Amino acid sequence: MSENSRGYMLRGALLNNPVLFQCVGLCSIIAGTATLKDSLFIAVLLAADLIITCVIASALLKKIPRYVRIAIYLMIGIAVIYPVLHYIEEKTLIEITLGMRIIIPLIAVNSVTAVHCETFAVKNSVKSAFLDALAAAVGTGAVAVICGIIREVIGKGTVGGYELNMKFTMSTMSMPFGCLVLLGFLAAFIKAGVRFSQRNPGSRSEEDGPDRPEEISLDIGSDDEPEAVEMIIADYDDIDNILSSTDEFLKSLTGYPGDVNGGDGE
Amino acid sequence: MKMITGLLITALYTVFVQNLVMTSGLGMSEAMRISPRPNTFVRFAVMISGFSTVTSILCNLIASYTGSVRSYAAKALIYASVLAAVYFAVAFIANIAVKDKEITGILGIAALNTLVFAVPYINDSAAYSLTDCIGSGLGAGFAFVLAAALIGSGARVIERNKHIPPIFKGTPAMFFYVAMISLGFIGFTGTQLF
Amino acid sequence: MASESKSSSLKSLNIFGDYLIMLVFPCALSVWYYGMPAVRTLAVTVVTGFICDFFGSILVYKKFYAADLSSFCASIMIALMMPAGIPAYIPVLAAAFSVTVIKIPFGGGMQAPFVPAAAGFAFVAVCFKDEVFTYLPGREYMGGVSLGSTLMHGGAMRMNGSNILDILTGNIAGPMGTGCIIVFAACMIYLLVRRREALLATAGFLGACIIFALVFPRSNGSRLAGMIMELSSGSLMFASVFLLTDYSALPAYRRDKLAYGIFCGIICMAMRKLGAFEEPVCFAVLLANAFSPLLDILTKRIMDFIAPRKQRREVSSVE
Repeated sequence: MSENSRGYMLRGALLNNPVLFQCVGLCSIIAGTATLKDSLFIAVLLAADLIITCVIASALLKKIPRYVRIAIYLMIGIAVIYPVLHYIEEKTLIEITLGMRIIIPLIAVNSVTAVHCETFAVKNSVKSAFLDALAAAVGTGAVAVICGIIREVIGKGTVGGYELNMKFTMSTMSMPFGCLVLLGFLAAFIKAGVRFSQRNPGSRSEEDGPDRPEEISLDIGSDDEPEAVEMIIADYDDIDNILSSTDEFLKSLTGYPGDVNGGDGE
Repeated sequence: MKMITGLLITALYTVFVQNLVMTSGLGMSEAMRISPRPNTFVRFAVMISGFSTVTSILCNLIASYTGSVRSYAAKALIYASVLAAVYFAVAFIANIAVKDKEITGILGIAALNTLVFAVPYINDSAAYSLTDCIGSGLGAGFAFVLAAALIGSGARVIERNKHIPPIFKGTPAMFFYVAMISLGFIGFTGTQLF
Repeated sequence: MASESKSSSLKSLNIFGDYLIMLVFPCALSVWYYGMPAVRTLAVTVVTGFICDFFGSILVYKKFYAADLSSFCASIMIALMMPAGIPAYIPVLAAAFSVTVIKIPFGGGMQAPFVPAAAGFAFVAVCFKDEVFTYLPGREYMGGVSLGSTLMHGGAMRMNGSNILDILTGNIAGPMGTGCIIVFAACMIYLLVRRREALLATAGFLGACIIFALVFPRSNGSRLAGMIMELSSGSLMFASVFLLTDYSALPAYRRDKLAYGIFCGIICMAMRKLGAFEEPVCFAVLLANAFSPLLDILTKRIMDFIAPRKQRREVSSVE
């Protein structure tokens, strides 16, 4: 993988993390990562759904009207999930809870796929769409696994089903509320890490370009990769207005990305 | 009269007591993404309620004719097919008949999201009657809009707060805010849906 | 910048100083009734709150704001809402949660959109439901069963002089610092002098609770007795004085404060009737905080609807 592709991946998985900074795919993460096993399941299925759908969207669906495309994503998702669920139920090799049997099919309508297909895959080449989907899948999967580990350890006192003999557990971690708190801390942790690395002169090489200490760049790709385009959409119409770009959505919430004069408490 | 009362109680339960967005995270991404646009709330409420209700009714009727389907894989296939069929029909008619592009634009999001898709599962697991299914479907749309309104107002509160430290500005503060709303709703149920 | 910071510190000291003064009396009573378990719970909670605040502030803001006494207030409030003999890790977790999730990420005690003490208590109430709602006997207590638990099971209490005196003095099983009605009445008088408008929320809250208790009683005794039981059970009176009047979460306008209190009261009583917790007032406070911006919009629309009519009447009467 080239240097630019690695940067592309890093940005797509970390700085533009779909769950933490684009706020998509929250349902699957919140409801489906109560344990490590469940979160691995979710991560793998989400990745498969995302990559397959983005590649197909980029290769075949560019000319299809938008209102038809959206439904095709659902059908592709079910086509991916149904055999997995059917196989599990038939073979009963992997024990999955009742809740997961409901959460897994919901991956077919997850917003990560819809957003990445509509804002990127259908406007770019298959290779770029694949890379973008891969980056998003890695980012989402990492968040799912981290959430799964922490939630299972704190919420149930086990990890991967093995007892840890903890003195007490906090059942709120198994609930959506607990996951949201965890996501908040994860996002803050990443932001803190990025700010630290931007302030630390030794960590930036000369090839990284001009220093922008207070801002996290949202550009994906560079001039060296002619196929890559920015995630930020220039022309809006109705569905783009709603499934709007990361930058616009996050700015509509607060001052992210990058407020130079951040608050300092009292 | 009894049917209407049951329907209303189920709807109110879905909106306030067991708010599906806040207590289970269903449709939370969409709620967060549309929260900055309060002028779309009414449309979303109507569309999500409509799709949830129609899908619930059709899935309930299919279940009553074919007998209870035990396999979750088969349920997934049936519910997805019903939802896709309902969406296609409505979207096709909307694109021909409705001139307002905004409505046709948001139809996909309103129909194809985790909240609408989960409603038949919830109805099935709670063994709801047809009336309860309708109430649950109707409540889903308004539960979604209530959640979006709360999240949107929270976003404005966070935006006005100049004292939030930089590392918590943006999505971290937003997640904490939504987590507190979710914690508040737990006071009704004490537990989660599934 | 320096003068702004100084006036902000003074304001913070002023507001949280008032709460600390008011909290002295419930603390003293809890120690009187429960002895060392109460002292231990209070100490452990306050120390945890301070440590989390100190290190969290250093990590995030690179400095510690000593004038922001909100972590002390929140920790004491959390401790007072706990049973006296509760395992130490529970109030510790509650205090840590209130500081690290509510206070620090939102820029301090004066900016938190949710009441930190309510959030901390609600968090541990969900995690450790049994421990949080199991009460130690005090010096003398009524039957070992709290009023909240009695109401949950539809029980009743005779309103004789002895029982009423126990209720007024806090001599009942329940959270260690939330039982004495006399103390809370005194705190309300203090607030009337220092922060009069905050009591609008208290008035709305108590009014809504009283009406709800009379219309939808849980007790199988008389409605009046049921209403008195509802008001004196759990942390309801404590919340009406300390949680609902929290400076940062309270709305700005008078009409909004009243609406906020009424909304919180209705939700609290609805949760008591329908919900899973013996004492859900903290959850109700969190929901009221979340709905507060929407209530502002609603009351403004109502006032805009009413006000034009008033102006028309005034104009026509002048003519």
